[in-house]
Amino acid sequence: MSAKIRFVTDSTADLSPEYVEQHNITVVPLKGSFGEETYRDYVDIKPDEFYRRLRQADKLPRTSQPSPADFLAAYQPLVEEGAEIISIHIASALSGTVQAARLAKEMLNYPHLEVVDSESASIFLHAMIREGVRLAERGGSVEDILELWQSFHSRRQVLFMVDTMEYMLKGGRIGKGTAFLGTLLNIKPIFTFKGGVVHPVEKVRGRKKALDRMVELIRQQVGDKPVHCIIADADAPDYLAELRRRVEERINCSELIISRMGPVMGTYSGPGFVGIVVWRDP
Amino acid sequence: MRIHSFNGRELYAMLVGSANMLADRKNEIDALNVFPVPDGDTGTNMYYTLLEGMREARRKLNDNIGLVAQAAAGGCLLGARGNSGVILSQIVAGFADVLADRERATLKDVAAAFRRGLEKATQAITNPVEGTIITVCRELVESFADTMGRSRDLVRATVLAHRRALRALHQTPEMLPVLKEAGVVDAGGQGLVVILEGFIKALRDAALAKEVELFEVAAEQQRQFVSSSTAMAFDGELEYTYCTEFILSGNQISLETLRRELGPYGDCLMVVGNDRLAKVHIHTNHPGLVMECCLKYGSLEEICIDNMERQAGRQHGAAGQPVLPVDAGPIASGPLKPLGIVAVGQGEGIEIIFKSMGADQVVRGGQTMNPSAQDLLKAIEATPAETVILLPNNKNIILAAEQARSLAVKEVLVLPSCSVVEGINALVGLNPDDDPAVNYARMQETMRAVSCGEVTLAVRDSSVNGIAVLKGQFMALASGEMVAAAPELEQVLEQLLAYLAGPETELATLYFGAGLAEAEARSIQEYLQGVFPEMEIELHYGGQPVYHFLVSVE
Repeated sequence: MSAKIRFVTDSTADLSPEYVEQHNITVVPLKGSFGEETYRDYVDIKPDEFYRRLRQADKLPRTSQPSPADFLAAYQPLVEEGAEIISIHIASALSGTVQAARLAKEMLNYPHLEVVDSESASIFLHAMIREGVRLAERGGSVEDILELWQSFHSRRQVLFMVDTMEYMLKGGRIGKGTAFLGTLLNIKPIFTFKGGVVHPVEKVRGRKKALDRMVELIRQQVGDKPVHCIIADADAPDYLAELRRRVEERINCSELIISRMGPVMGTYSGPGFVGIVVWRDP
Repeated sequence: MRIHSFNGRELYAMLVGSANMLADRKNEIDALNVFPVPDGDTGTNMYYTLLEGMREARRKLNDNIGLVAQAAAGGCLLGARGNSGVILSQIVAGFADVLADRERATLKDVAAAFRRGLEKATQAITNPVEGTIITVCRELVESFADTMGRSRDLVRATVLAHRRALRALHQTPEMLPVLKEAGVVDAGGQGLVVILEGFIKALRDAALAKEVELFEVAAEQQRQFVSSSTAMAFDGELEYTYCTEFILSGNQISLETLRRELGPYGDCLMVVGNDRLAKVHIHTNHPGLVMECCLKYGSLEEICIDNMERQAGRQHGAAGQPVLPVDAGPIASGPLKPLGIVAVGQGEGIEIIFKSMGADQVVRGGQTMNPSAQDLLKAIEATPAETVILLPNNKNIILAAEQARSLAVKEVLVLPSCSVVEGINALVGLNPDDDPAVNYARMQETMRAVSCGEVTLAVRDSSVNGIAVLKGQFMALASGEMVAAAPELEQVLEQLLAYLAGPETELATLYFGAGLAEAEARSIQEYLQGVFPEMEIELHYGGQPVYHFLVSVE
């Protein structure tokens, strides 16, 4: 691994602890609170406990971005190392995290720090980090990585579905014009990310059909070409298993990473989320 | 007793005669159902269509027949309800075409007008079928053509045409097996024959009165009938809400006195019968006063009061240019979105579901209440979108939807959905982010990906497709065919689901109607879930009239 480049991200990337450790990534946690009780994403609360409590909660937990001070604290040791820092975060359309990072950067006045708005979150952000880390480990420069990411959104396909629209609607993290989604009829909408905002792609009735359709839509785009792939669930292991089976049958994956959605992201998707991202090398 | 030509006022009198004749016989025409279900009400639809034509003609009342015909055609086009209403409106539009620059019409003109009307009507239908109003209309056109060479007398020609039309009508069951099976003649054809009878009556009344200016008298009489003092002062704003009908029985009823006394209460007054039994029909804002007035002369029975505002949802503004006064109600203001949706549906739950799936406007209507082209047009105009996809959701509303499309300023795409459930499933394919053409194609796909059916009560004994059903039993229909019948709802639904489901079927959706309690619907759902454990069975409140259940499987 390049000694100089260090990645900083936030907990919404839903990276596994093993991956974080292996690649020496700094993760700044977002925060959440059930009532008065606040917690740091992944640090004070793990996904299993979170979903158990989410299902029982009568009010949705609140979430908040890290403070600039949190970022300062995260950057400080890296600055002392003299590292080249790439700090990539959840879409600015979804959270103020990028803004906090930028404020910290201004305060630091450190020339080798790039703050990047990923225009995505969760496994979709996760995918970008993997691509960046891989290039860095092969000796790519910060410029190379930023350039590579420029084209990332045109090389990736992102789809996800939720069991119920309830959490997305309550959380307010969904674009306007979704009145047509028909929450009454047990419709499973399939969504994507466009410009950092959640966009509905199609509506399907029935879970199996929705999973079929997601994989079909991906296949229509990538055909038999090899792609990297990450799939994840939010407390929906059955869905994830069904999706995995379909992906293995229909998609030519050069790598298939199984992930899960953490507490902060899970607040907005609700239990029953399942998503997929595939991307090809440039 | 001969008439060689007539003018605009006389044409109006003929329209009034026909509208009154239809008013009187619409129930009889409505009853000509192919299936033993409450069907699209052909007679009522044709009546309301012609009524709109008559009203527009009255606003433009004039000696010049071209102007009156044009006004009548404009009214009919907007007022068109149901397929037969649309066809009728096209026939009247044929009159407007042919008579455009005429002062008066001769037999030759009438023959040409009917021929042009037939052409237009045939064009309006995607696949004209023999044994329908089209067949009857063609015979009528042929008859006029035959008579034309021998005589110039309109009364005689019309009587002959009527005779031939009637003969054709009685042959419709031979041409269309469904009619034969149901033991009825074609309802639209019957409507046309009745309209012709109204024509003849008006012509005869006129001919009786005098040889030369005979029509003035009849027209005047008709005007008195229609709205005694207000006919000429009619400015387009006057509107009566309640269609009031009843039978008056007494000892010495004077029809003349009744007409005089009731005249001021409204328009479209018709008093027929004899001194012991009279049928009264009037459009009024005071049905109570009308009945009170008649109580002096006897007792009332078969009282029927319809709220026409509600029924037709119609609205009259000032009449505009002779072309088409597009009275669009609340025009959408503010920025237009690229795509909007207008759906036709009936039932509280259905409306909510449509709206939850992205319909901007839900026009009330369905099987027993077809909205007019104008109702649809108003909803289109009130939708704040550049392009509107229109879901008629009933076979008998598709033509009116097409007519609304051709009248609308906006771009309108008609997705020919034949039922509410098809409409709902079409909306599954809606994504306003995509452009209208993409949406239209995908909505068509999602609509076709499901099979639909419905359950209702049989209104008479019948045997269709080898399935016998007794009056009062439940019957299931799929794609317009009867597929099951049983005394209990559970049984008929079970049979329907078995008919619709394939090996791949995962999901059945039931929408229960207004006549059913939720608890009852739930217990039926549970029963069916037990019978079809491999299927997910969803239940929703539709609140629709007529159909106890609407069903889709996918």
